[in-house]
Amino acid sequence: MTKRLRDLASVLRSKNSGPFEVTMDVVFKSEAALILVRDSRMLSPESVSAAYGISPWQVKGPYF
Amino acid sequence: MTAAEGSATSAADRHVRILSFVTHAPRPRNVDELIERALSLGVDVIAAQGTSNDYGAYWLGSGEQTDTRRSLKENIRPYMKAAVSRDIPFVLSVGLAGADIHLDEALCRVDELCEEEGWALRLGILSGEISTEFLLEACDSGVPITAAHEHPSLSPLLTVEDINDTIRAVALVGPEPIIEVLRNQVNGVITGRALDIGLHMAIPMMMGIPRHVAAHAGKIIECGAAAAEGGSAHAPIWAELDDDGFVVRSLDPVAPVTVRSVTAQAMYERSDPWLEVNPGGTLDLTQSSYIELERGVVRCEGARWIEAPYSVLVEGAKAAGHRSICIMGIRDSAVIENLDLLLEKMDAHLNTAPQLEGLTRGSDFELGVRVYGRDAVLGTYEPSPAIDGHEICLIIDTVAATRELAQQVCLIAYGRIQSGDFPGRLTTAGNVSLPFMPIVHPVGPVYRYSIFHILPLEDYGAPFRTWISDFPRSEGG
Repeated sequence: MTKRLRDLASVLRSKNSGPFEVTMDVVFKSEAALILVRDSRMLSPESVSAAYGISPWQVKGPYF
Repeated sequence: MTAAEGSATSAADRHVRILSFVTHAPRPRNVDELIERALSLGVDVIAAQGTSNDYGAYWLGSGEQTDTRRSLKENIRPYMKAAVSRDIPFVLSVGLAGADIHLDEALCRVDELCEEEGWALRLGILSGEISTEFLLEACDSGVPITAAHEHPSLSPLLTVEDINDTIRAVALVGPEPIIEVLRNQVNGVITGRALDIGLHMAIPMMMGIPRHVAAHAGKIIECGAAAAEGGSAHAPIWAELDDDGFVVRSLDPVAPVTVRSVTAQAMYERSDPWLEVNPGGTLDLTQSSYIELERGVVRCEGARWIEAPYSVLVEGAKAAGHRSICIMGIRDSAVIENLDLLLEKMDAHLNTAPQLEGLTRGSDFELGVRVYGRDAVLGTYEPSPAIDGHEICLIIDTVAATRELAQQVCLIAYGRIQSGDFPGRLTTAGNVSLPFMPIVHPVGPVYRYSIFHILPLEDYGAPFRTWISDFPRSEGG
């Protein structure tokens, strides 16, 4: 079953971190949701860079 | 600065209560009520940030700031009133980009404020500007000044050319130079560009609060009530620090501080949520904890500080020409379907237009097109660059060495989209609508970062001017 990140999060946002970086922050609704996403490994430099059409080295995270 | 000195209290009794706000955020209507609530809880320090690089290099290069003359004064007036009436020391940064030109403007507003309120204040002033001579000397003596980010627009190692291109530069002054100024029997300190958390750390550190607690608290409260539910940096927030941690308390019952709001603030604008590199060390939050003690009150603990050689982030701006834009709306489905073709024809025309003979796109002028409704927000990062609405907004953006050339290029590009032909075209009277006159809008000068580098410092105060002044300063002072 597909779950959307926005349905698992209580905070989901992007913000500049200085002029040259963008951070995307997620506060999950529950520890179970965090573990689900973390262990799925769907958020990785590879998947994020593929989604945005950039190189994996341009993605610093994720940090759980 | 009598309030912060001679703190011979034992660790168990040591508590420092901070009222924090943001000097460039317009104050909320109920600000007096919120301050009154903080005063009833007790306030030992008022701290506020008013500098930022969020809006890019423009402000540093141009010398402008977002605040009108009136707003800075009105934003800080209620807090200054509280500080003066109760002899509470304060540390404020002002001026957005925070160079001397911004600081001087803000200090004139402080003069006016003192005159209007009948205050006589002795203030320590700390400039955040760093001279190009200082940077050149550092460069000359072989100090490695490395780019804070790997980015094609930044030299990996700062060069003499980068410095010579720089109009003005500032650094994010840490808490140490602020503490030096505070030792001069002043009512408070006003700084230009400074590290936001450093403003909040200075007085607690003087009063004996450990650096890791002061830094952690600074990080959470540096944007005022952004750390509370509702996330408004316009309203103030309150925290009480001790040797082991701190509590954050909302001053507004409708915007409580929660574990959610505080943890979100802990990673706000940070490239790493756990490790934050600061002058003289790294704030380590890997073991941090956040516990809701009662509704609207959260206890934060567990920060650590990892010592490192002292360094500051330096920001410098250089001129990069002039910008003009043209804003167009398109609502004809046939034009939208043929948009790529129209843009290709426009691109081709720019290479052959007789008015632009001898000029090369990319070196003599830059031209970009933003298609709102397709991919304007993310640009090339957009995962699904398709138009699925019935209307779009097109912005042509030109930058050239002179305003005249930027205007001319933008107008030529506009013309090709406005009257460009495509198969099946019925819109022979024009392809676009123009919401605003004049057709092409001169936006003004453009500035880019020439410096966004880390400068190692043996003496943390060396690059920064400090002085003491009695406010209001006499005419001509």
